[in-house]
Amino acid sequence: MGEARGQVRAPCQALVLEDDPEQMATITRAMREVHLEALPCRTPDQALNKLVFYQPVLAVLDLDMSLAPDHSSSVDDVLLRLYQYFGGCFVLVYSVRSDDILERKKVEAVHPLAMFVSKQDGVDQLVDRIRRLMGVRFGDLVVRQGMTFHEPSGDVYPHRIGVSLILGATLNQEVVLDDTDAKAARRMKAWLDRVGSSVRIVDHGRRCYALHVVDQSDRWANGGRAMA
Amino acid sequence: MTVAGRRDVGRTILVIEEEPYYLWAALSARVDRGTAYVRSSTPDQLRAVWTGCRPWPWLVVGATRSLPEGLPQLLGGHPIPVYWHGPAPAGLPGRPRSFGDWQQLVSALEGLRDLSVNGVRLLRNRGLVAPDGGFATGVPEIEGLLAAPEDGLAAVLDVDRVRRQLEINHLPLDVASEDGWVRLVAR
Repeated sequence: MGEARGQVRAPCQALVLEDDPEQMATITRAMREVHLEALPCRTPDQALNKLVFYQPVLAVLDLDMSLAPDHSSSVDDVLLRLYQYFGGCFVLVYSVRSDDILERKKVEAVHPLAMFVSKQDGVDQLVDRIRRLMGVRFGDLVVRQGMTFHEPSGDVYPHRIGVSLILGATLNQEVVLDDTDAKAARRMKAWLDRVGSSVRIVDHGRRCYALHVVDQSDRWANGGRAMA
Repeated sequence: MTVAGRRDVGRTILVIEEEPYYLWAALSARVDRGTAYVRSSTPDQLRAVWTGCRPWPWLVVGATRSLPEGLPQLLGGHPIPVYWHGPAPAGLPGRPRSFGDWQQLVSALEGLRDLSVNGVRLLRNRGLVAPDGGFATGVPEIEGLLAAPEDGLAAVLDVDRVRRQLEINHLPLDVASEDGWVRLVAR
């Protein structure tokens, strides 16, 4: 019996901070295709406001806000908030400046785990990245339709934390959870045991969690970026 | 939401250099994040960035001509291997490994992913894997010693405590300590 059956499940969310309406439309369409609810924001102020109410698993941020309406906060403020308080949200910086080492260094100082996609490669590259992220596989688990599936049994773990943990594992990033999400991780641990998954959740303490495949714990995604 | 802010990212290689940050860029591209996150600091940012590498950086890589202010104190007695591009500046404690060619340095660090001492290996992001497949977490001293050069590290360690950690976690290793130089050996 799948965990999701009989439950009303809210879709996983993705924050999109983009000041160009055309790009925004393309990105939000890509999010919908992979069953993510886009949280569109044209300014950093709007993004910070969304983060008061939502807990996205993915964030796409444009660094250049020159087309944005008036705003008082900066993209750095959003990056810092995501880094400090949204440990289950994976950040893609989508910018014309993504290939610039000095720009990357500035972003790294605020959000060391942010990943980069260059706008110079076109929006299709970003869309492709989002699609790949939302279809990743780890051990016998796979992300599909914004949920965690145990492939052999077809069972589903519906909480977004499953998606965050699998994304973390495939991107070689550990996931930091708040108290509520840590409870969901413990429920997921019980679910993994029940369905007989080869994947284990390792609690590193200080609310840091990671997934490992039993007997393959020394094997991890190659490169951290290439995998997803 | 009851959350304290994130304070660190896991096992970290801290690169200390000035612009244009070529070493950080190269290491970020070549060392996978499962082995270690590569963080960047200028000498001026050192103390602030260091506090984001809890409990301390796994490795320190430098590329400055002069000794970054405060680095010897931050290294203290922690088991942190130090690598340097170019001649290591005077005043750096221990025996830093110096590389004239930055590409050789990058290659050396890229190979850390395959570290293994008597079957003990790195676990992704932080921690270790025992030969029996068990996970050892919360053992930063042992992770540092695992990455030490063959002749060990100049570190001030509570050797008895490290031995207890090795035993509790079923890691078939012991600590050899001589004249302030510490290294892991097979048990």
